[in-house]
Amino acid sequence: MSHPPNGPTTPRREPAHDTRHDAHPARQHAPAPEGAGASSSTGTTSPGAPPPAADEERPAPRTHPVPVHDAAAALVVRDLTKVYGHDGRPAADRVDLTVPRGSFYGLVGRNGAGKTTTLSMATGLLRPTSGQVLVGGGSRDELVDVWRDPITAKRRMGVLPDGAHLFDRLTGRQLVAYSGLLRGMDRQLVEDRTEDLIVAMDLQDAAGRQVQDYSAGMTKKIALAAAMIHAPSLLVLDEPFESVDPVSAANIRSLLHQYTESGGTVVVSSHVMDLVQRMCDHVAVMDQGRVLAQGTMAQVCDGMSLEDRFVSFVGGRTEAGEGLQWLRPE
Amino acid sequence: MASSGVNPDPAVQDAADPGGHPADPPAPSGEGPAIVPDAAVPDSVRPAPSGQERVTHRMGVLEEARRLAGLKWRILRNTLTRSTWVLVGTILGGLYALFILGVLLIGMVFLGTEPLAVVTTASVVAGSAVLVGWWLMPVLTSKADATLDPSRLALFPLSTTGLLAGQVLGAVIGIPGVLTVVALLGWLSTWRASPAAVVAAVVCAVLAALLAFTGARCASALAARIAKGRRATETISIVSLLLIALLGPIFTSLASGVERVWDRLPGWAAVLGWTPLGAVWAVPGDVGAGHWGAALARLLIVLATLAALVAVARFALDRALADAAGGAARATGKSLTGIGAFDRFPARPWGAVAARSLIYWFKDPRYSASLLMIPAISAALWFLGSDSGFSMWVLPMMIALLMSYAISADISYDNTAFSLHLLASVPGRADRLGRVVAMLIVATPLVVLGVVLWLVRVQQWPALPAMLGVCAALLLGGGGVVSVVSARYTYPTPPPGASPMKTPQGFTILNLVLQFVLMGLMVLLALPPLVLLFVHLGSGDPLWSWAALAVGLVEGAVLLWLGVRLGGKWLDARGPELLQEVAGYR
Repeated sequence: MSHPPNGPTTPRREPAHDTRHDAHPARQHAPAPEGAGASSSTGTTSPGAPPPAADEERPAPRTHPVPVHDAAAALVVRDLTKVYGHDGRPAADRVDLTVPRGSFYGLVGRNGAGKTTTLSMATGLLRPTSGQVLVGGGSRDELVDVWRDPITAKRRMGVLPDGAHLFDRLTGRQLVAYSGLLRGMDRQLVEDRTEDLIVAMDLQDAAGRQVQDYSAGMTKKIALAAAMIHAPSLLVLDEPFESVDPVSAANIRSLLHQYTESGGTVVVSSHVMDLVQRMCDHVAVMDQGRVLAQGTMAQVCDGMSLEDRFVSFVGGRTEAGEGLQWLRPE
Repeated sequence: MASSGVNPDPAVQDAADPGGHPADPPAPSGEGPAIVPDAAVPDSVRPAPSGQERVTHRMGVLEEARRLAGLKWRILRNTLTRSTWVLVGTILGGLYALFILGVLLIGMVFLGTEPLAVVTTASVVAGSAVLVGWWLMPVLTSKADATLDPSRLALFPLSTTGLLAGQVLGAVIGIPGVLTVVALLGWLSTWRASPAAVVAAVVCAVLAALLAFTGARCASALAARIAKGRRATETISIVSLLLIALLGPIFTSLASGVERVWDRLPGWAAVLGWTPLGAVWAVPGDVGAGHWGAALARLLIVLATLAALVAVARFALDRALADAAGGAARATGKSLTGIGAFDRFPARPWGAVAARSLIYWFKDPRYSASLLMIPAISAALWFLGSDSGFSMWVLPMMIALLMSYAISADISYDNTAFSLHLLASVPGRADRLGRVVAMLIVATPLVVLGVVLWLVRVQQWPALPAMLGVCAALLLGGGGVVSVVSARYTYPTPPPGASPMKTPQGFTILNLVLQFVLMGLMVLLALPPLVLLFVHLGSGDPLWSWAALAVGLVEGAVLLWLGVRLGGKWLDARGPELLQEVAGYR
């Protein structure tokens, strides 16, 4: 029931790093985002080279063997399946993912591809029909099963669920503090980090107002702050950039890049291919509940743009409007 | 699109597209290369290549009104047939309305035999009430008739006049509209003593219907304006809730003074007959009695009112059409510097949950509504039990029961925000305990207030300990019961941000049964001190009273402890399932 006051504080030196980057909120390091071509963006991560590489060009989902114990993995998903009802089509169908430590991992797919289902199961919000989710990190660096030992696993994770209500009658500051206090953190620590996060998210003016009065972008930012207050080693963000304005998005991106540089791992789901290609160094493509491809950005893209590559994987229509000859201004 | 502005290449990508996709062959897992030829556009919608003919054409005002009314009809039909329970509810409501209507019609037929003056008085009073109903209802319910909401129609090329006509015509479609029309037809029969009056009544009935429907549109527009300030909506819905709760006492007090009211009616009617509310109902009487001047003057009042209403409605409609997108709520409330209540609770998970729940008790109208029901119930019981004082015995217990029952909706109220508790792996016990603590902080003063009221009225000092014991058992023990049951069974509630009056989707008889069982269980477990209270009242021995206090406190505390333990355990085991369940409530 009671975590030690500093329990959730993982061994990384988070507060210092937090205060450091409010000095220069954005634009600190341009190299990664501007990499245009996929290859250079791998620069941000060094540790696990091309980790589960092996057979990534053959994106057939079932062939690559999952390493039994991959020390460099932050999140391992094995055979994760979710079937709603009795005989429905699985929303997630034997999903295998390995997210290397320190990577900026993108999960792309159409609406309804199973991204949110997969991430919900991976974060302990939705009980899987079958399969396993392991989270790495911690002082002894061992993989912990989210559904067997949820308390340890969740201590390592910060999660931004997509479309969930927030406790929006609280002020922004209260919401972030609540998230910390719920995790049994020390009050002073919570208050210090809350202020740091509010500055980092550029929400000083709004922190005293109720979250229900926030714009969509501000809401995402305050939810992100609430997900980071316990200094997790893994951030799982479902659609973090949806309806976020460009300035805030750049702000969040640079914050996340700093986070990965200091050893954290970020998993982002999105259906905005450009964004993922510029931001992430690893990517997995999902469609109809299955993983079609995963690996480093270069491996998956194979010289094409992620969007084209994605369309070729998923097999959608590429040309629009050919048949609509009547659709033209009078 | 959420991608940030720097992006250089969407255009490039588009241009590259045709070149890009032939590189399809490495098609993965046989997911089909799928350059499907575009779905064929039917020939019917392909104009001749040169033809620039307009497919859309302007409709006349009447045509627009007719189509809008048709739209309203279709929406009504679809809403009713969406689920069986809605249909059953509507049929029951319709039968009730028919019953009322039948009584009204019979009354009106008999009224026709009365002298003209009586008929005029009755029709002015009743008719004014009908108009007030039509004009106030949209403001009170603060949602009213959203089906022909101008902001949803703003994109279509419709004229303001046509839209207004459609809305007024559409008001007839629906149970209140039909009832009003039938009642107006019945109203004609009350004037059968004088043919001239009947003729005038036909005109007036049409005018009255127009007044009612146009006025309702004005009121809806007003309500929509108010609704943009969120706080105001919440206040209004809560006030109307209070009014409804207070209807009982108001009627009983009215009933006691019925004779006096009856005598004053003609005086009221005379005044009302010269206001916009009552004028239209008095005209046939004037005509029948040959007061042509009065009739003309009243008609002028009616026409002026109608013109004003139409002008206001048109103005509001124009504003709404021009402002269709600017629906954002104004920011409310002042900025808070610290973290408020979170500073005043222990920095433990249960303390945080308690602080958060406490904030919600005061900030969230769904909680405040149940809070405001307490004074309403107190007032009702105070007035009802004027004779024996029996109802005052119930009052403190009722408050205790309702307050501890209120947290059974807690997780449903949280809706998906509950995911934060799961993600933070809040121990189930801390979750349960925090919610109960917040409830106790709010409920204790209220129960004490109830006990004070009871003492003032009944003045039974020896029974005070027993009363406190029963309340403790209900409050503490009830809190324990609710902590267990609500960790497993939930029922639909309005989602966060919705009006507390909104009926949530998917509320079934089963949920109602659950609520009754839960309340019954709470009462059942409070029986020991209650029985001791009765023994004390029977024997008059104060010992029994103190025994009731002791039993109530101990039993309540034990039940609470057990409830928090067991409920916490269930919550730990079924958290994700519970989240999925409450996520479906909207």
